[in-house]
Parts: sequence; structure tokens; C-alpha cells
Amino acid sequence: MTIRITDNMRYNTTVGNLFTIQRQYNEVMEKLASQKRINKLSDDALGSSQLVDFKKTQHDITGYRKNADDALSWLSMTESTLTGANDLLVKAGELAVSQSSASANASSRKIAAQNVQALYDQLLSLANTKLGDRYLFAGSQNDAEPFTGSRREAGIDAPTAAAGNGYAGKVTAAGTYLGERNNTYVIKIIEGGAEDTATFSISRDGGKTWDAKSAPGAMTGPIDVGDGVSMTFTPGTFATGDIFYVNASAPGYYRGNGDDLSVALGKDTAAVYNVTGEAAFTDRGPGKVDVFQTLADLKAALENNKPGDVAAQLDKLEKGREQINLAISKCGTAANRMEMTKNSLEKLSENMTTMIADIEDADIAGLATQVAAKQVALQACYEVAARIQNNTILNFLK
Amino acid sequence: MSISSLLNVSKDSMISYQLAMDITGGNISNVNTAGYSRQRAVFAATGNVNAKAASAQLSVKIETVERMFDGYTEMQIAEQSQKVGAGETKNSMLQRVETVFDETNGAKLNDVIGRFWSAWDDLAKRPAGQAERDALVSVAGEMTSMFNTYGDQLYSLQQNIDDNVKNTVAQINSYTADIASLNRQIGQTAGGGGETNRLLDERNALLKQLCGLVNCQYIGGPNNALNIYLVNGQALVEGETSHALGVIKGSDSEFYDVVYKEKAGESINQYLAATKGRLGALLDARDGIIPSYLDKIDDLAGTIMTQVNDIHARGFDAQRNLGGKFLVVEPEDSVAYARHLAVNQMIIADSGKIAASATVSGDGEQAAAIAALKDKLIMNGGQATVSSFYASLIGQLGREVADAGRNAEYQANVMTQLANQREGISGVSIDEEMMNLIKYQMGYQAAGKLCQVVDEMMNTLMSLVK
Repeated sequence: MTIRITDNMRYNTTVGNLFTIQRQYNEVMEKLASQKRINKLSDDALGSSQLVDFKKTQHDITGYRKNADDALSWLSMTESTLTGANDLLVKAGELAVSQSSASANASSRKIAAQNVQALYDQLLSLANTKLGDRYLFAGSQNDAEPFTGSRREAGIDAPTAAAGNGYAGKVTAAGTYLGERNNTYVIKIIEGGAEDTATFSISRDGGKTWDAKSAPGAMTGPIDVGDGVSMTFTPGTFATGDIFYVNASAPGYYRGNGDDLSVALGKDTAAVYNVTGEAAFTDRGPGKVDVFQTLADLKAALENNKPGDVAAQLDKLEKGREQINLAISKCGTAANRMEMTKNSLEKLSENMTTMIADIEDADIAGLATQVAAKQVALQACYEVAARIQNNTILNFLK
Repeated sequence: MSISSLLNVSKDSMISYQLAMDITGGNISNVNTAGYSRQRAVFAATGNVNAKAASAQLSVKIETVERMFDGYTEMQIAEQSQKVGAGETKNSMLQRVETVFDETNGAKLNDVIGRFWSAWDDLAKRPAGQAERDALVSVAGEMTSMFNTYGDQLYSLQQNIDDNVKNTVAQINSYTADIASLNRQIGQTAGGGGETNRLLDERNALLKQLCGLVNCQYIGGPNNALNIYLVNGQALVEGETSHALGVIKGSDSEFYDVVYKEKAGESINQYLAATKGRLGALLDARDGIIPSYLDKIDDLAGTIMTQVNDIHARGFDAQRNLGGKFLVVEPEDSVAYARHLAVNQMIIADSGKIAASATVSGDGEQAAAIAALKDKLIMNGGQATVSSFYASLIGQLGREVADAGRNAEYQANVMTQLANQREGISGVSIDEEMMNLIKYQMGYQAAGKLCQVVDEMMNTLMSLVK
């Protein structure tokens, strides 16, 4: 220990202590003002790192809740639309019952036929309902109305060249579609070049999975893309990445596809929230009834005044209703799941908020006490500083 | 012994006490001079008394003016200056990095990356929605500019430090030149005395300042000179000559290398330890600390870019074309991903070019796949998610800043103790000087009294003759 206490030592010590206490006082004041325990990363490194994680989780939860909300509004829209469709079929059933009885006659059946046409139109408009800019019942196919007003035989649309393609020639499709469901076939140019050098790859599921690359030169003739569909290109130069696709549809009224739509409700958890028109309204659904076909048949039977044929549709109408009701109950199940997820996400979010607050928020009562303590210390320090030179031998040398 | 010689004794002591009071006065006036070592007059008796006490010839003189000084403490202080210089520099540099990454206040990178994934999720639900596409382009722009800001700030910090390296080298050169010139003056005025003491104090203060800047060692040389060497043995000061350091831009680096001027071209960066002296700490911050964080956010930005682009390129856009690059770096061959990340201009111009779907019919699955990247282990070679990688970066930075802060504080505390120790030996105490003043004044008065008594004795002697 030093024996000599010099004047500089006294000053330095006092100033050093003053700074230390002022810094501590400032830190407490900063926490109190910001109401936060962590104001810089170095205030609590582990806490800062946890905060990043927790806030990300909180953000994710908010996103999942939003997804569940969006899916719920989709589901409730789907449910009410399907309920409307069900009601229409009930009315059609009532008409069929009354017009198949002996009390009905040709003219009443004519009027009933018009009623059925009206029901048919209403059903069509229900089945083509949109939420935002997405069709409720089109599956993932979003480029055209999912239901057409009249029945189509199996067919192949004119192929489309994507807007940004380099190829300027003409592409045509031909063949008889043999597939059982609607499908989209895509050709992607792997290596660009003239028709005799370019190579390509085919996808039979709209572009998700791809066949192996073709041999060069295969573009000169018709390309069999599968299920009886072939595409033919006029000679020209292809650019790498050019896309050509063609929609092929199975017989019926449906133009959409059978794909599910899903939203993420958690890490690696996705939930399907749509009902495809295929499942609700076509003979590819569980009831195996094409609702539109049934209504069309009913109308024809009424127009042709054939009570036997009218009665024959009754069973189909009932099955169609069952099919639609099955879809409604599917909506209900999915909505329940969404609600449950939403509730548990809300719980989780509350927990997260608490955990974040535990790390981040300052203990105000504790800080207030600390401020008082630091204030006392600071005042004491000032007091000492003021007296630093009060006692010196100079006072006694007169 | 003669009466007149007694007058001489009186004269000697009056001169001695006056000199001692001069020294005391000097001490008092320098009470606040930094680096000043107090001085003390050393009185010594002269003459002798012969054995039979037949005669006496005793008197006093100021043998030397002693500079109160402890070489060991001074050495400790010089060494501690190196640690303090390095510690303070590292701390302040890291604090600036901390400000860049400050996640505690408001919306920073973590938040904007989260919103980027959310925007993809929204698009997945409504792949045809123009509003969702525009929102995604806008939040992606926010994210890239946030990355740019982080990268630019770290990069400009590096450049800033580089300037600082150059200035520090210039300052070192000015200190070494001053020390060499002091060596010369001290050699010329050798033989003790106040003037040399002042020069020694001055040189000592310079040495401490030099030690704060650069990792060096020193040793005393002939003619009281102070020789200073770098740790590789190259001399900074040798006697009256100083050897300058310089900076040159390395061939493969945009930053300065420190060189020994007489051997230009040979970098001595490696001899400037990161923990000793400001120069070493600056080099460490510029070449070690900041690049490590820059690398990390480059890694983050680069990985997000490649992963998003990879999925995006397999999707179809609103016009049914295959997706191009969603994120790009400009220029294309840059590896400073964070600084140069941008949203592809084609996509900014036409948000329909966002490839949200896995099929040409627009199913939104590609957007969902990109949104799902937030939970994929894509960082650290499949060990971490984007968020956990960033969280660990934040944690590491927080720890490093806290450690550096603690270290700087500790080194400063040690320095305070050493400074107090030095003060205890070399510092001026007014009380002590006042006591000395009283003591010397008393001595002076007594010597004056002696003169008066001798005068009276002379008068007595003279009156005998009358």
C-alpha cells in the first residue's frame, strides 16, 4: 500500500469514483426510460440471442394464425356455398317428386323444366364462386372458371406458349384424351436451338415433376406427351426454358383439377382447406354423381315429358346431395382443426409474449429503488468532491 | 578555526536552503504537471572535525537534486499502457459493430427477414394476387437494403479503421522522433541537475504514450539513452536516431500493411499483437473481428439468395414462364453478398415475374416452399436455420462486446492502481512541500541568525582591539 497520498491521487480517485457512479446512474436511468432491461446486445448476450429466436417464433405464430384465419374464411365461404347448392338440389328433388307423379302433365313438366334450368344456372354460379381472385372449387387450377355451362366431351385445348418464350413458331396439339381426370401437360426446353437440336422434358402434372431429357431431334415430329395427347411444333428456334402447355379435360362439366390447397399451420405442418369441384359436384367424387349432368338429365326428362326418366333422377339427386353434404362435413372438420390450431396458437403466442417480456422488460420497481440508491451515492460523491481540499496544512499556516 | 570561516558556514547553509526552497517551489508549481516526478534536494555535510577537536570545519551543501522515481513501476506502467491502448481500441471498435447489429431497438434484420418469409406465405395463399406480389417485392427490397446497410456499415468501419492505422503510424513516428531528440539532449546535458530531470520526465511521458500505440520493448542505452525495439528486434529508437514505420497497400488487399520504412514491402503486421497497443488492436479489428461478422452476414445473405433462387427457378411465374433469379448480387461475381444483395430488376419492373407456383396453373406451392425455408436447416452446412444462425451471431457479438468492455475496464483499473503507485512515489504532495518549506525556512532563518551571531562575535573581537 502506498504511504504517500498526493493531491493528484486524491483528485484522480474522486473523479474516477464520480465517473463510475455517474455511469451506473446513467445505466439505471436508461433502463428506466426505455422500460427495457436490454438496451444493447452486450447488456445480456444470451438474452439478446434468445430474443432473436423468440421474436422469430412470435412472428411465425402470427403468420400461422393469419393462415388459419384466412383458411377459416375460405372454409366458411365454401360451407355456405355448398349449403346453397344443397338447397338447390333439395328444390330440384321436390320438383322431380311432384313431376314424376301422375298428377303432373306435359305443360307442368315444361314449366318445371324451366325451373330446373334456373336451378342449374344458380348452381353453376355457386360452383364458380370466387373468394378474392381465387375460385373456391377449381383445385389449384386458377386460370379459368371451373365449371362450364354445357357438358364437354373429353378434349384437348389448344396448347399455349408461355408469354416470355423465345420460340416464335406455332404449336398445335392433337389426339384423343384418354385420361380420367383433367390434366395439364407441360413441355420445357432444356437446351435451346433449332428443332433438330433442341432437347426438352415433359411434365404430366402441370410442371411439378419432369421426365428425363429427350434426345435431340425429337422436336421435329409430333411429341407424345401421354394419355393420347401429342404436341407438334412448326420448325423454329427454341430458347432454353421455353414453356408450352396444354390442358386436357375428361368428359364432363369440370375444368379445374383435383389438387388440394393447403396452408402452413406450423413448422412442417400444412392443412388442406379446400374442397375441389371434382369432389363436390362431379362423378369423380365419393358419391359418383355428376350433379350438373343429373340436373341436365332431369330437365331433358321434364321437357320430353317422361315421368319415368324424371323419377330415375331422384336417386341421383339424393346421392348428389349426400356428396355435397360430405363435402360440407369435410369443411366442418377442417374448420374445427383450424379453430383448434388457432386457439393453441393464441395460447402459444401469449406464452411467447410473456417469455419475451421476461427477458426484455425492466423490473420497474427494482429500478426505481436502484435509482434512489444511486442518487444517494452520487450526492455523497459530490459532497466528497466539494470537500476534497478543505483540509490541508495551508489552513493552518497563518 | 577562524571566525570568518564561520561566516562561510552560514553562507553555505543559506545558499543550500535557498536552493532547497527553489526545488520545493518547483515541485509546488508542478503539482498538476502530467508525468512530473517530484524532486528533492539532498543535503550533505561537508568538512570534518579533527580527532582532538582542536578545530572543526563543518558545513553543508546540496549534493544532488534527486528525482523521485521508481523504474520498476514506470516499466509496469509502460507495459500496462500497451494493454490499455489495445483494450480500449478493441472495445470501442466492437461497440461500433454492436450498433450495426442492434436488435434491441425497433425493426432490424431479424424482423425484416421474418416479414420476407411471411410475404411468401401470403403469396402462396393467393398466387394470382397483385397486391401480394407487390407486397413481396417491397418487403424483399426492404430486406436487401437492410443487408446492404449492415454490409456497408461494417465495410465503412473497416475503411475508417484503415485510415486510423495510417494516422496511428504517423503518430508513432512523431513520438519516436521526439524520443530520439530527447535522447540527444539528455546525452548533452548528462551529469545530473534539474534540466536533465525535466527531459527524463518528458521522455518517460512520451514512452508511455508510444506504448499505448504500439507493441514495443525498451532498454536503456549508453549516454542515458532510451532504446526502443519492436518485438521482432527492429529498432524504433536507437540512441539519437529514430526509425520510422510506414504503410503500404498490399498487392492482394485494399488495406494498409504496416512496414518498417527501411525495409519497405515487408509487412510487420504479425508483430503487432492484438492485445498490445492501439495499432495491433486496430489491425485485429480490421482484419479479424469485422471480417468475421461481415463473413457471417455475407453467408446469411448468400444462402438466402441461393436457396430462394433455387426454388424460384423451378417455379412458374404469372405468365407461365420459368422463374428467373429472385435475388441477385450486383456485380454478379461479387462475394460481398450482404453489401450487394438486390432484388432482380426484372421482378421489380414486373412483379408478375415472381414464380410462385409449381404448376403452370398457378398453385402457389413454390411460394409456400420458399416460405418454409424459414424453418429449414440451410445455414452452417445444414446445422442451423436462418434465424438460429442469426441468433447465435447476435449472442456471440453480445458476448464479445461485453468481454471487451470488461477487459477494457479491468485494464483501466490496473492502470489506475499503477498510476496511484507512481503518484505515491513521484507525485507532489502540497502538504509535504509545505512542511519542507517550513523546514527549509527555519534552516534559512537559523543560518541567518548564525551570521548575526558571528557579526556580534566580530564586534566583540574588534572592541577588544580598541
